[in-house]
Amino acid sequence: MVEKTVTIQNAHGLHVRPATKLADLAGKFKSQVTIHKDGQDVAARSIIELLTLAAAQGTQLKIRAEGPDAAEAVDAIEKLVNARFGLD
Amino acid sequence: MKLTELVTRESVVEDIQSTDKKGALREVAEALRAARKPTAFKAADVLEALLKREKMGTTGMGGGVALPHAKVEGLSGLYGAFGRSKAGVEYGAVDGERVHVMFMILSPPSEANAHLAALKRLSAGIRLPNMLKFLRAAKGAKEIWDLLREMDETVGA
Repeated sequence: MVEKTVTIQNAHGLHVRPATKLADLAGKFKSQVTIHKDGQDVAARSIIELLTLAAAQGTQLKIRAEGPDAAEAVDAIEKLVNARFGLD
Repeated sequence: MKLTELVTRESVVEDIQSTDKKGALREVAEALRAARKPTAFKAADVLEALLKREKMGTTGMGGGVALPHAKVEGLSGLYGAFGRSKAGVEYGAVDGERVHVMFMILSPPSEANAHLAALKRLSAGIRLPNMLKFLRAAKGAKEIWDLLREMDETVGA
């Protein structure tokens, strides 16, 4: 299992567009990727699940992946979050 | 904010007549305007803002659900509407499926956290077991409204 902690940096938080980008990216990997926030964990490839996190700017999230390409998946999602999802 | 405060009983569209995206968005936006009469609401501008947002990436998130939304300058708070389409709307959703259930959210640009809170409530309600099936099969606006109330009660604060 691979895990990394990231902080949501974009001003509007994890709204529909960033959630869609994250879900799309997570779906490209074979590994099972989950996102964790305060004891809540959701499937990274589901936009609806991601939106239930209501992760505002400054929120810390844990990215966890289990599977053959877990490290790549976690790295790619970390990059996306740190790049503010290419938004703002 | 409860879904039954975001959306009012009068801004529920029981059966969207248009099967194209623009027409469907126009119908639901018009229902919102007619029901809530928010100041600073020009239907044409709102439709344009919604379509502009769709160009940046579809809000059709799969499974027959869409969450069209836009920021509208000068709104006093969040405004929502609900639309159901029996025939399905050609929406360009992420999974290519037609959209049958549409939640529209208009928010003032300053309300990022309220917008996130509304998305949380909506998505938590939508993923309740069978909720989408029930919304799609609901017999009329009253049944749809009862389902929205049930979503509020089950999801909690």
